[in-house]
Amino acid sequence: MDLGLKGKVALVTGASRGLGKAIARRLLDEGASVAILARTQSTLDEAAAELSAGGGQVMTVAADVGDTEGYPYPAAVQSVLDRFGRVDILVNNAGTHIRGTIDDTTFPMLEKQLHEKLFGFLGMIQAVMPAMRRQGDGRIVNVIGQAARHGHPDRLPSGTTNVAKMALNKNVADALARQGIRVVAVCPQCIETELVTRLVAKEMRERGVDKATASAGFTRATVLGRLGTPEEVADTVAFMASDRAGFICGSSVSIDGGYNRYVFG
Amino acid sequence: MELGLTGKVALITEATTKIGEAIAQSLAEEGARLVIVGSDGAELTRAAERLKGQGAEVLPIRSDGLDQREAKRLVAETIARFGKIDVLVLNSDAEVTGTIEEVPVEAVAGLVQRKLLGPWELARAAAPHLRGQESGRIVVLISDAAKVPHKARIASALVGAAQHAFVKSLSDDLGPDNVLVTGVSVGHIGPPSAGTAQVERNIYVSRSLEQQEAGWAADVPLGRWGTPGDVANAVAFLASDRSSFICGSNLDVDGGDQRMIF
Repeated sequence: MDLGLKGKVALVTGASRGLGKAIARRLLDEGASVAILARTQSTLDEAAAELSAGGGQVMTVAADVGDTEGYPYPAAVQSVLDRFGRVDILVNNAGTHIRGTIDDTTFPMLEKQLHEKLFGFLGMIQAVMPAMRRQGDGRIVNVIGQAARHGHPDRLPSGTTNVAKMALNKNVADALARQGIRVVAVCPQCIETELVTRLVAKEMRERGVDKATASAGFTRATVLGRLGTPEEVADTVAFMASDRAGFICGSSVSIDGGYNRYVFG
Repeated sequence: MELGLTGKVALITEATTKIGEAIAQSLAEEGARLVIVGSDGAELTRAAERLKGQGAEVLPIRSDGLDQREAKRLVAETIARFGKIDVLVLNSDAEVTGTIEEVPVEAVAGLVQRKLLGPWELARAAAPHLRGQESGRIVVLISDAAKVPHKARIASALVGAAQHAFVKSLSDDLGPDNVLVTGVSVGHIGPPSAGTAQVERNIYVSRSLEQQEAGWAADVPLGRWGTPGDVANAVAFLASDRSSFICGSNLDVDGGDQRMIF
């Protein structure tokens, strides 16, 4: 399937590792030029070297999308415009997953999540809007973890923030569609990223169990009996950003191996 | 993106409808071998010849593929010809519109037949083969009335909601054998025509069909009706190797028409 992404310019946040890096690689494979954004220049440089080894144009943008006071969004987008002249795709992917219960969640914990994931997404959307409006074409893919759909007692900061991101996604989709900008969400869970690897390591440490036992909680929970890969999420992001998804707007697609059993949502 | 559909065998019901044929076309372009099912012999021949003309390998089966008594035969003929089945696309454009006074129970039963019982039996007949090869896809096309019903689409809303339940529950059943079941929720697909347009929202009452159609396009965030190709692309992606961790999910292809956040 020709996704029509050749020659497009994509900006991917949180792209120095994990999902973001896999998304950047997939978009490069489809012929897009890619700007990878993350906080630390040294890890960005490593990722850029790795990504560009497969061909294609890669640039780095060092910025912290959670730095709402510093408001790095317009400058980050401008650096992409300076290098590539346009920006066709924004993948809002950056964001940590902070766990906490009602007993131990502090305001600063929730604020950190809101700054990174809600304000960070919003800031990036507002920053790419002028260029996308000028182009009369743009695609924004918001990566929103399934904590938005499934309440866990220990995921208060992340879950609350992700629900707000779902509302952001739908609102912005409606607002921008008539200007040729499509906004969609991809909702992963149970993906084998550094985040899950860390959680498994923590389980191994705290419970004194081996990796298979520690991972079982994750793998058993999905219908498919395994974790997903970052590459599988990247495939879905690439499709949703593509010309082949031209009538998909405001939709969110779950990619979780069947983990969430809900009929709706 | 390489979808990995080359050589795969896909069975599509109501394959001569606009959406059905667009799905067949998309899958053929990706190298799939097709079993196209339709009850109108002339239309089936036309669609089969057109697809073959483009280089596709096609087995047309004249049948109302959504009559549950046909399910075993369809799967048996597919296996006889191609030796396997990889993708099942459960497509039907059947709709029942009308208020509670207007729609007799027989009409609802007919819709249940085409959207639930027929698909049930087809999935049941295909399941042993799909499970046996530990790989497969079932994609179910669902009317947007399932999630956003309007007053004159009660029957479609009822049956569509059940289709969502079918997708989710069946995905849990077949997923452990790597058979992935997904839904595509379809919004207004055009081009609209006076023959298919229906007064379904209060604001359109007493307006001409042309005014209603323009009004619908204006209502949809993307400002246009969808095309059969828009739906077909989504089905092709979900039928592909590239959707290998998407299980039991639904994808709305509706131009943003459905406003609910979840």
